[in-house]
Formats: sequence, structure tokens, C-alpha cells
Amino acid sequence: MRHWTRHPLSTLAFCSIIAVGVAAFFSIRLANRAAISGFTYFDRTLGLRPDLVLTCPSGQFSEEDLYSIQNQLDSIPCVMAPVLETTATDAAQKGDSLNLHQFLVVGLDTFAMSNLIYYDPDSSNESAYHAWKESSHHSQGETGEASYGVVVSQALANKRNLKTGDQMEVIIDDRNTILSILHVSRDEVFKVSHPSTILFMNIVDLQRAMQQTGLSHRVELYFPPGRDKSILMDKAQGNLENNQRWTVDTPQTSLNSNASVTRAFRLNLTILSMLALVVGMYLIMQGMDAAIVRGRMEIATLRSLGITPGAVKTAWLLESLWYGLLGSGGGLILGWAGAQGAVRLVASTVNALYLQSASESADWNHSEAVLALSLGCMASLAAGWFPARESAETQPAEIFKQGRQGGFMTALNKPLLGAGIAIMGWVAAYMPPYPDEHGWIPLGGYTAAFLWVLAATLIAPAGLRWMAPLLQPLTGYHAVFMYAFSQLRRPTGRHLLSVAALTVAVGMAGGMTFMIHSFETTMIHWISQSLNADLYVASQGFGSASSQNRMSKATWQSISNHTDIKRADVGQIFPIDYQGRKTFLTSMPVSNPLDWEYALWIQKPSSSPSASSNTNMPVAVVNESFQSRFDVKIDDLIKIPTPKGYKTVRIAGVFAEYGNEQGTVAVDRNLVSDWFQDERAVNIAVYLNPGADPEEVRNEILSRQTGISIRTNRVLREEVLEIFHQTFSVTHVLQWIAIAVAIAGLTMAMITSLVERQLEFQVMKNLGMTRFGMAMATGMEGLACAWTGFIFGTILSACLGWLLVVVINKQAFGWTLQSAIPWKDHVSLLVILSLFVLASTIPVGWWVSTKRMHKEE
Amino acid sequence: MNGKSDLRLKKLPSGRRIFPCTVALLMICLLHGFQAVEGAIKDHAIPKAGHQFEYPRDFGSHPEFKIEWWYITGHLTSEDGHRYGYQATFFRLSPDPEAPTNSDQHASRDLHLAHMALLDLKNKTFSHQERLQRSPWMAFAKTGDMDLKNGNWKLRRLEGIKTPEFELKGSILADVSLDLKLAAVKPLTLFGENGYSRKGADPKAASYYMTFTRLQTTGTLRLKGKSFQVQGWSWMDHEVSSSQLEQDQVGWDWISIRLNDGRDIMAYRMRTSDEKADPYSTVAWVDIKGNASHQPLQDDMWRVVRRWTSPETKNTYPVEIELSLPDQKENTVFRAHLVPLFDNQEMLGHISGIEYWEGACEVLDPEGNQIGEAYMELTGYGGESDLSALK
Repeated sequence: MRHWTRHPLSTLAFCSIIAVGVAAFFSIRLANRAAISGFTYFDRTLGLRPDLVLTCPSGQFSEEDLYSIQNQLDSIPCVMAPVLETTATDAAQKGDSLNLHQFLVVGLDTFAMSNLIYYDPDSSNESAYHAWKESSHHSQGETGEASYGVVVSQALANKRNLKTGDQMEVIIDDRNTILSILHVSRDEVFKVSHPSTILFMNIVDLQRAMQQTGLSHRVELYFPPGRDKSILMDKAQGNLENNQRWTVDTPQTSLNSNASVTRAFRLNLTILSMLALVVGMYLIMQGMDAAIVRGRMEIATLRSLGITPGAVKTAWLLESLWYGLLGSGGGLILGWAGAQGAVRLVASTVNALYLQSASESADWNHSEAVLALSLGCMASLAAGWFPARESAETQPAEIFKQGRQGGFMTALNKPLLGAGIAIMGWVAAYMPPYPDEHGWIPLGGYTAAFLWVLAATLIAPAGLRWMAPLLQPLTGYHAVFMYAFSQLRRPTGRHLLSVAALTVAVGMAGGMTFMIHSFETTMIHWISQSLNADLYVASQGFGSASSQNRMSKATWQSISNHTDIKRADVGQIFPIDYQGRKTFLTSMPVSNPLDWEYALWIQKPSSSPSASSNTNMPVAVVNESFQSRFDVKIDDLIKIPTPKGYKTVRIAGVFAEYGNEQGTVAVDRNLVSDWFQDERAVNIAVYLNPGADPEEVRNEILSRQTGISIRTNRVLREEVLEIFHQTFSVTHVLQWIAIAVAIAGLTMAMITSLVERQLEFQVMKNLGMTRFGMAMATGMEGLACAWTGFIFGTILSACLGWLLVVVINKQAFGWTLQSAIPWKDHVSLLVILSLFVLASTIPVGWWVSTKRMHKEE
Repeated sequence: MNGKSDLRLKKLPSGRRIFPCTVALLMICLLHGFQAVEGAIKDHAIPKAGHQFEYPRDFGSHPEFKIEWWYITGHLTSEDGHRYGYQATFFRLSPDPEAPTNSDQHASRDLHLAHMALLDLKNKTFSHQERLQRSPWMAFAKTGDMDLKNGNWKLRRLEGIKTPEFELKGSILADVSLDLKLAAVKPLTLFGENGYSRKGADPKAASYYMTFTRLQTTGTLRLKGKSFQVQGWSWMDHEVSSSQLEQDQVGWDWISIRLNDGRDIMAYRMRTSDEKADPYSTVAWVDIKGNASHQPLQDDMWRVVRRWTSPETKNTYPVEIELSLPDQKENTVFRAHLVPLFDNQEMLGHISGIEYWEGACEVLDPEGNQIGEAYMELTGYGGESDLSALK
């Protein structure tokens, strides 16, 4: 405690470093959890939650399926309620942006669910069901817009000041729809409240609004309360399982299913979120050593008095633990607050790329808090371990000796060992991925990344010695530079640790930038090759994987018949389950894949189909992610689930696509429409007649067609890239946190080092060096450290970038990316790093040079 | 059920026939948002005199009519002597004729309401549940023969025409289930003129009315994880109508009695707003061959002995009565005391909002000897809301 009171700033700094690291980790974990847990099937209902949910591999249940389910349930009592879901765009925010506010609209079988009142009158949302019963919920407005009853969440009612009887206008598919508020659902105490983005309708009304009679996406089963409930559920599960027409989900499997879809994304975020903590560990280690240095007289005295080395070590470890506890505690608070912001970023990415997320806030989670707290304490203990051991093992006489050069920290200066570890990493990078039930885990890639980071830690400090000879010729032999570089020739352990931390921070952050830049370059290339139409038409609000707005056949036929339009390619997409994993079935506007202009081929279909023995089989082409996830190859036969049963198709080619990592299989549109009995279109790619002005055609179509948005080629490309950048917004935040921690560490190292060298400063002053000169020397010293870290960090980033692009990304997502080095970003980072280091170290030098020599230290 | 089927048409001395208002119709009106019940009749078939009943066709559903129901009550005894009472009722209601049936498949679907209750005298518990379904995969009433489903509640004919055997399966929440076989030992009783039952002066107000008064019942009950065999006797009504409620009726009291001497009694007292029996109130004796003879029911034939107030709804029901009925066979007055086996047999219609009392009773002679078993239905005691709904 005495150290804490004497050096409150350094204590605060240690705790802050841990707090930032723990906060980054905790906030990302909470946000991840909220983004995938806030929208499971089991939360999208009013009142009681279903006990089991049946989903269909084709994504849609036929009426025949519903009869079959009832037959399977036989004498088992339960409420069986089909559910239909879609998205609706808020008509109050009409516009062409791809980021329009969307509602998740859940259509419930209110007749069936009114029976739940016998299960639990308190939890059953009786008033909502009565509101539906007692109202005429479907009408046609004077302007032709359909009107339906809707139940809204308390959150939405509060947000928009809505009450029963009010109306709101949304776009469902491509039609303006008036929703009349029948009821505001009450928030459930101690349960997840409905977010403001969810709307509940009667399933029949929603089917009418979507013009899809009889459509349902899942079936919820509610079992009656009582001591035999679990027996009934087990029996039902037993009867329903092993049927290839549906899958039985429990709350846990549903969570796992959502989790598996976003697993790779979340795993990468989690690893990235630990970056600040890893970098922070170097700094804590350095800080602990500084504290030991300050207290070495005391240690020596204690040792002389007979205190055992073990007791000394325990005392220092306890101090580390205290730093860990205090810092982690602060980190949890910071992290929880940060998670509220992070959840929106994570949820927006999940919405854009994966599933519909209704999450708006991240709830506190005890297990995540314990994990983060433990991680913070462990990091602090691990960082304090080496300094504590050194303090205990060093003999008193040696401790009394002044001017020690950093003890254990000089152990970092092991370039040969580092080179050996780097080679091991190279071997690991070529290990095949580890297969599990959800796909591939690039274990070798992660191992290689860890080994290379470790190798960089051991190699980079050695580089500090090479900086002086490198810089000296550039700067000349001015006293300021000579003094600054003299420090590099005999660097302290703190210098070495700072360089190591900076190397790791720059390397990991740079590696991510490398990957993102490669991804962006590849995307731009793909867009330029694939998006060639003049105009792109979609239902208003459609713009992400989670959007379900569609255009009716009447709408797309009307557009296709426009006189200025040469050709209109109608696109459809249906989420399906293939081999138990979520993927997409999309439609090709042509029967011969070779004629599909959208496709950027990785494996081009054969121009002579007779080469295949299955020439009569419908052909499909798959994207790279599908090929990788399901391990398929050309000429393989795959069975696609549809409402009309499983359809066998032959894989004819593989194309590049970066819209999703879950995979896409594309089949002739005529077949897809027939299989799903759905003619609605997700989008239309419009090719104009020569001479037609895209803007004019766009405006002309929009003047007579509501509920759709039309983008020109240029606008679409811009918006695709905008969404792309949005998905990496969390990544950028985490990168900058790590860099900031590393710079803070370097500043701390400089402060500690300079305080130790006050006597040296006094001598320099006596020799005539000005305060400005000393401050500049300090700045140069810091700059040299930063540049050393930057150079080795850049090398590490290139290695990690290659690893991410070629190994990890390919294995986890199935995407082949074109490597591209982000020169501009790297130069920017160098400039920013240099400016920050100068801005932090020069004042430190100035401050130390003004201090009188202290006897105590 | 309460509403069960209470549609009973009786021949009055004057030759007029009466149709008590039914809870069934009341429930359906509430649930379906019917705004103009009177207008409903015009598009549905109307029961006609001289209808040629044909079985098993007429055991099954008649979708061309607006409403019909199958109602079963019974007394059961387990092998160790414990007594139980049960009720199961299946309703079918065709949609509002004003609904946009042409373009909307769902709106044209029948609505299915059902009630089930079990009285466990050993444990003094009364379990009940109400169900409402519209989806055809969840509930149906098939034509051609009796084959009904509402979730896992099922009623169907197994075999036989004149004295058929039926199967009833059901459950109440998780811990009560029943699986029964019901074998008719008396042929079908047709109330009214050969099953054509006039309900008022308007010839359109009529129903087809069929009853099996004695069904020998065997099967299994499962209570809280324990299954055991039971046997006893049941009563089944099946009625088909497109009729409407009478404006001046506020409710009715209805009983079905199975006497130990082989005869059965069905009686109902239609109550007017001044708590009197209106002229359509009827008592019917069913002889050992299933033939029915009808007489008007007067106020002095039905004396309330005791009332019970529900702690749940605060409704007060006349649960214990004394009957003094003319017995034409014996040319005497038949006196009986109906005592409920358990007071709290109130059905709480959580979905429909209708509350009524439907309970198993013991039938005692003036000396206190048990001479039969009965089920009694008491409706219209739920206050003004029920009254308005009835109208």
C-alpha cells in the first residue's frame, strides 16, 4: 500500500492499462452475446416462450408438413403455432440508403396462442390476443393501402410516443402498409424485453400483407405445465426427431445455431479484443519491474533481515493481483458501458451479413464478467511473475548494486530463439484446418499467429541496438542525437519491453489492416466484374442478408416491360439448411451458367455439358464459401431442400462472391420459383437499351412505382463499399485501442527510465546541455524506440496479414482474397505514431530536466 | 358442456317446440367477432322436418350448418372404488358468411372450440381446460362419420351403427389424460319430431338433435404420472343447427339423469329475466329402448335447495336441487334430490370468457338412497356480460 500512496500515478496507470484491456474484451464479449442471443426464435413471441421450435431445411413449411407434425405429436398435448417472419421498412424514413431502419415483423397464430392462457395466465399476453380478437384487423384504406392490426413493444411506444389506436406506415415487400396499433406489449420483468425493432401481427394478416397464403417459416410448440411436462417434451422430441423435413430446436440449440452462423466473425472479434490486454501485459510487466527497481533497497534490507525469497515473491505477486483486481473491476464497468455502443456496431454487422438482430443493448452477464475479471487478474499475475521472481531470487548484494540493466527483461533480447519460433510458426501455418460440426477451425493459422507474435517479441528488441548506427549518419553527430542514441546502444529492459509491446500492437493492428485492405481490393475487383447492369431495383429497405423485403411479380414484370429496358435479370434468394448448416439458395436468370454475367468464375463450368454423365440433371453453381464449407467439387450431386421436397442438382461451376460466408448455391430461376411457389424477386438487374439514360429511366419508373428503390451502378457500388466499411468499424476501434495502449506504455517506460537517470541528466546539464536539448534527446530516444517497434511490427503485420488472407480467412470463411498491402494506412500509422510519441516523450524530458536530483531513488 | 349442447328441443303441451339458448353459440359469437348473428342464418342450411337420418353419415359433421357440437359427460369408478366425473365437448362453427371467403382460405375455415374437465373425487380436485383452434391440421370435424380432433383431444366412432362404440381421448394440461371406449347400450334417442327440433315460432329456428343416453364406458385415466383403469356410464349429445338465441332468455339449468331402473331423464329450465321457467322449459323421459316422451317443466318441479358461490368468479350457482316430475309410466310424481359430488365444478372459460357450472351429481330418493347419477349444467350466472352475450 505504501507504494500505492507514494506513486499514485503509476498505480493508476497500471490499473488503467488493465482496465482498458479488460474493458475491450468484456465489451466485445457482451456485444457478441447480445447480438446473437437477443433474436433467437425463442424470444420472438408474446408472453410465454416456446419449449420447442421446428424449422424446415427449405425455410418454409408446407401445409402437408403441418399435418405431418400433428400426426407425429399424436396424443401429446401441446399448443402448435406456426410463425411467419418478414422485415418491414419504416416508411417514415423513405430513401435510397441501404441502411434504412427496419422492423422485424413476426406473424403469430393468435388463435392457437390464445390457448396458452391455460398454461400460465400471468405470462400469457392475454390482452394482446384479446385485442386481436376484438378488432377487425384487416381493412383497405381509401388510398388503396392495406391496414392491419399490430402489437408493438413498450420500447417502440416509448421511443415514438405511440399508443393504442395510433397508426404507423411501413413497407412490406414493395407495398405501403398501414399498421394500426391494437396493443402495446408489456415488458417482462427479469426477462429480455422486446426491442423497439419488433412488431407482432396475426399470421393471417401478415400472409395477406405478403400475399403469401399459407406461408410459415417455423412452428412453435408449447407444452402444458405440470409434473409430466418434461416427459411430454421428451416424447415429442423423440417422435419428431429423425425426420428430414424439419429440425427440432430447443432454446439452447437455437442459440447454438445462431452462434454457429456468426462463429467465425465473433471468434475473430474476441481474439482482436484481447489485443489490448496482450499489449497491456508487456506494460504491466515493465511497470512492475519499475516498482521493484524503486523498492529494491527495501527488498535488500528485508532479505538481509531474514525475510525469505518466497515471502518477497508472494508480496510482489499480491501487489500484481491487486492491480489486476482493481483494473479489472474498473474494466468491467468501462466494458459494460462500452458494450452498449459496441452492440450496435456488432448488431449492424450481424444484420448486414448474417441474421436479423433485434439487439439494442447488451445485458450484464455474470459468467462473462467472471471470465473478464479472471483474465485481467491472470494477465496481471503473469506480467508480475517474472519481476517478482527476480526480486526474490536476486542476492541482496546484487540488488544494492545500482545501474542494473533490466534483469529478466533483457531475456527478451533473444533473436535466434525468436527466429526458431518463427520457423515453427511457418510450419504451423501449413497445418490443415480442424473440422468440427459447424465447419473448419483454422487452428494451425491461430497457432502460427501466436508463435509469430512471440517470435517478434524476442527479435524486435535486438533491433534497438541497430537503430543507433542506422540513424546516426542521418542525424549527424550533434550532442543531442549522440546522447539520445547512446541510450539505444545500452537499452534498459524497459526499452526492450516497450519495443516489444509496440511491435505486437503495430503487428497485430497492421495485420488486420492488411487483411481488410486485401478484402476491400478483392471486393472492388469483384464488384467491377459482377455488377455491370445499368440499374439495380430492389424493394425499399432491402440491403442486407437479414432483409426479407421482396418485389411482387406484378412489380418486376411491370418494370421489365419498360420500353428502354433491354433485359432485366430477376434475382431470388431463399435461406435453406444444407447438411444441418445454414446457407442460401439463389436463382440464376439463365439456365446455362455460362451465360450468367454476374458470375466471376473460380472454376468455370464446362462448355460441353455432355462431358458429364448426368446431363439431364438440373445444374447448379456454388460460390467458394459453399464449396469450402460443404467440401463439394464439380460434378458432385447435391440435394437441395425445398417445400416440394429434396431436389437433386449437379454442381457445374464455382464462382467468387463475398456477400456471405455461409455459402450460396445458384439454380435456374424458373426451377427455384417452381420449387418454392414464390415468384417474388429480391432484386432486378436492369440492362438498358443503348442510348437510354439511366437516371431518366430510374426517375420514370419511380414516378409510377412505389415501395421500391432503384440504384444506379455507381451508387450501388458506393453503398456496397459503405456497408463493407461499416462491418469493420469494431475492428478499427479495437486496433486503435491497442495502439493507444502501446504508446501509453512507451511513455511510461520513458518516464521510468528518465527518473532513474536523473543523475545523468544533472551531469548533462552541468556540461551545458539545455533543457530543450535534453527534451529533444528524450524525444529522439522515444522516436527511435517507436520506429524500431514500427519496423518490426510492419514485418510482423505482413506475416500476420498473409496468414489472415491466405490461411485463416480461406479456412474459416472460404474466401480467396487478393493480397494488397495497405501502404497508405501504414504511412499514416507511422506519422501518427511518431507525432504521439514526440508529443508524449518531449514533455517528459523537459519535466525530468527541471527536477532536482532526488536522493531517495 | 356448458354450452355444451344444450340445445334441446322439447315438445310443449301446446305443440310449440323450444330451443334453449346455447353457450356454444355465445362463445362462438364472442370469439369470432360476429356482429350480426341474425344475418348469419341466411347463408347456412336450415334443419328441415322429415330429414332422413342416415348413419354413420349423421354422426359426422354437417359443415353446411352454422354450428354443431358433440357433448359427452360421464361418471367413472376406478378399480379401487374412487369416483370421477368428466366432460368433453367439441364445437364446430362455420365462418361468418360476410367474411371474404372467396379470396381468403383462412377466413373460410371452421372454428373449433372444445372443453374438457375431470372431477377427481378422491383428491377433491376439478381440472378443466378450454381450447380454440382454427387451423385444419390442429382441429377438424370430418363428414361422413364421427371423427373429431382438437389438438390431442379426439372423438371418433370405432364400430357399430345402431349401438355403436366410440373412442374418446383427451387431456387436461400435462398431468391429466383419459383414454375411453364408450359403447352404446341403448339405441340413439332423437329429440323432437324424429330428430327435427323446432326452436321457436320461426320455422328456421330448428336443429337436428341426437343423443346416446347410455354409453358403457371403460378405459384408462392418467393422473400425475399414474395410470389406472376406470369404468362407468356416459351420455352423448350431438346437435346441428343454424339457429340463434332467444332475446328473453337469460340462461338455463339443464340435467341429464341416468336412473338405476334403466330409464333416463333429460330436463332443462329456461330462465327468464324474472328468474322463472319460461314456457319452453321441458322434461323428457327416455325409456329403456331409447324412446323419449316430453312434458313441459314447471317452476314447482325444480326447487333449489342450496346455492354455492364461486371463490374465483363470485358467481352464485344453484348447485343442489329437488325435482318433482310427473312420472307417466308409474302415474306418480317422481321425487329426486340432486347433490353435487363436489361444489367447485365451475368451468372458467379463459379464452371465451364464459363461466358456467357443469357438475357430476348424485341422485337420491326422498329417503336418501342413491337411485342414479346425473350431470347438471347451470349457465347465465355470470352477470350482465354473459346476458348480453347470450342475446
